[in-house]
Amino acid sequence: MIEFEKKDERQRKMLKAVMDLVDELLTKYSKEETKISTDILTEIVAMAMGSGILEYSDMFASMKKDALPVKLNTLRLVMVELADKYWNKFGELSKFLSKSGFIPFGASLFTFGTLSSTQRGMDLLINKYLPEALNGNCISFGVTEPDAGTNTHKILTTAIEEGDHYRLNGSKVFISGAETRYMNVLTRIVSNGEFEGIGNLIVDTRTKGISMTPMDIAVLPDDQYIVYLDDVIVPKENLISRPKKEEKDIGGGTFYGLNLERILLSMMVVAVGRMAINKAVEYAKQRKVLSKSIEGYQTIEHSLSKAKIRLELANLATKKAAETFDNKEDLEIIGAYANMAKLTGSEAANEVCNVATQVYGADGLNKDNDISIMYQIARLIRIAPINNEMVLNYIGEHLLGLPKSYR
Amino acid sequence: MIEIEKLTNDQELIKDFVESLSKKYDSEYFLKKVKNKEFPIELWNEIANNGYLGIIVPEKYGGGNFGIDDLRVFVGEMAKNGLMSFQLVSQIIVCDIMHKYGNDEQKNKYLPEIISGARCSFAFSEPDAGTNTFNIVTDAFKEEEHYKLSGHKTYITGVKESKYMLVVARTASNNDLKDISKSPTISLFFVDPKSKGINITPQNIGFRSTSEREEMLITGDVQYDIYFDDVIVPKENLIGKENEGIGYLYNTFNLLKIMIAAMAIGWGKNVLNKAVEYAKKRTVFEDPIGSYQAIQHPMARAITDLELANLANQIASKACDSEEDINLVTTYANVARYVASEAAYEAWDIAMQSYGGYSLDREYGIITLWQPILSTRIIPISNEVILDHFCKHGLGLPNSQ
Repeated sequence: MIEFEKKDERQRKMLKAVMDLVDELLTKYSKEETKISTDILTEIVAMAMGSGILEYSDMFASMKKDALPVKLNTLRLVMVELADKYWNKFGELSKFLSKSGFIPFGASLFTFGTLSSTQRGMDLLINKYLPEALNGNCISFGVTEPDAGTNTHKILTTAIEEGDHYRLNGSKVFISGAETRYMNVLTRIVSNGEFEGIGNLIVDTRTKGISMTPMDIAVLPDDQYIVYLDDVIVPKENLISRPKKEEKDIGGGTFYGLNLERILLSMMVVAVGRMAINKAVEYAKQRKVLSKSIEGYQTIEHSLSKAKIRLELANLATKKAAETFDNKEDLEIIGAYANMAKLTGSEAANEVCNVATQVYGADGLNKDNDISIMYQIARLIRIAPINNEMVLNYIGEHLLGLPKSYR
Repeated sequence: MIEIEKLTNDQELIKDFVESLSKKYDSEYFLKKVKNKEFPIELWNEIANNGYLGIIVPEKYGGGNFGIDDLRVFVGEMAKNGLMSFQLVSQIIVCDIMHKYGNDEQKNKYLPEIISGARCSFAFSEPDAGTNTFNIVTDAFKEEEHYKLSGHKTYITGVKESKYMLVVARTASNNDLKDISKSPTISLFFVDPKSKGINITPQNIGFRSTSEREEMLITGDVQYDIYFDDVIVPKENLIGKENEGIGYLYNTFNLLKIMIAAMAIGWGKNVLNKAVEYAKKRTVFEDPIGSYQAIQHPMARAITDLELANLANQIASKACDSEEDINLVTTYANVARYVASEAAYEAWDIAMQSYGGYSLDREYGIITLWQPILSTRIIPISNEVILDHFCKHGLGLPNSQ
């Protein structure tokens, strides 16, 4: 089988280090059913940074301020390669990821991206939030609100400037890993009685006035929360992104974070798709219904091929999006690729899971085979973090220059 | 419509050149040419004078010395501006084969001439081989001083007006034609289409349901059948080594697929661009139709698929440039050709839908690209065969043929 993505020597070395670590952790984990210790968490987190162990330690050794601590493209490579290697261990991996604290760390990446777009943010990231996250104090991403939904401009959460702090009121919904130490809250900013625009405020979740209740969500390995913000006092310096004078309503820093969210989720969904296609191909080779195994039928082979090709294209788009993000290219270009990646990633993974279900037959719905769980995740990413219809609107308006199609 | 591909400096120059051409040769020029059944010779000469026929041939023969990735940009830009033709594809292919496999004498004799404009055809496909490409029967029988060529080729672009053609023929007649797992022994010949024993007839490639024969596509291309009846070809016209043609053609095929993919993406952008501009202005009810999601979303999907296909084609052309393993390059080129042709068709379809009845009017330039775009799903092999190949090499499944 052909290796689709060529890797250089450095990438191979890094991948091998990551795979060795995962091997070790999976073996350990299968023996102990207890919660994973902080040491291991730190290690996984370092790995999760994907920059992997190598770039990550380099960065800390030299404290290079201009280096992005999270090279998105490396993280993507790690994720899809992990999926290719452990395609048959989806259940184990996802249990492991949720128990190990990987997921809140993953959510922290959204904030890290936003921070890394400015020098002040970069300093905060390197000196405060990154070391904290490595100790398990991660940052959740508080964007969605019950009354805003897809229309982020309509959020009601408001931070009113009062002397040296903001007073924050509002509520958030569908917040992954909100129980972690910090939350990056998307909020309306009001100064001197005037609405300034929408910005990002980092809030310590232990602050008085914050309460949350878990939601009963079927698909995800991590918990989702409804969060209430009731007269929460937040120091002024915690404002990490605000709209500039010339920007309308929402600042560039916020878009930076939203693009990042799309790129990270398309990586994840492509990785899930890789697992599903590998499972389906392997099953097709063994499954015999009539005289020969079903892999020999063109209708099966072509469906698998088409799905795999779409998935690889989505991976290419995600790679491009990650690279443009890493290189800090023009926001329009990052936005174009991030949206294309999210659209095609989620749809390709859906197609893969659909074909995989067809190949497995009714067994595809057997929870033990994990196909149905992967399918649910793939389906979710057509809705989250934003629905694909809005993604198509973005592409129509920004790439093609067509008139706005919604009000 | 914004362009999101980052081009190199060389590629920017190529793009500028193509854009300068597009200012002179617009759709009216092509419509007039097709009406008069004339080859777009003015455009051809300008391309030749600027060295672009030999774009991937070294400068000492008059070429541009560019890489395959640059060729991809050139072809894509030409198609996007409505300037691409199958003749240009044939010419670049023949230049490449001559440069890679011809001997010094042949290279010095022919390359400068064909790079400066003498048209060439690539005579490969046959009625009985089809998608099983190497199952050709045209035979070159070796005699003392020459080869004697007999057989039938079909869908050969522009051969009647060509000065030369590159003919692919069998050179060992003991091959078993029935056994498709065995490739026949093949050699390449440079042949004068005016040689004695050659009979050329145009094919009827029109789309209008009239009784009149229609032979020319909007690209200015005409396809021909060629009949060879004991045609004498001098020994020195053999290109490369005897019986080793298949090895040469594997490379050529990948180059061909990359060019066809670039063409498809370019044509797809061409029709999509027109449709987007039209949809911004066209108002049927209260708003421009481009503001309706039923129109806008398929357009957004089309541009996404075209851009993704472009990424795939970049991977293929760069793998060609860095001379990766031939199986890898073949899989990349196959995937690129497949997704590019499907994306182009998708773009064309929504363009038709947006223009409504006007789409059928040749002046709007949508229906005229129907056949060229459709053909990208077939040339040089069909998408179904690509999927068969992909099962084996991309997924590790057995052949389902």
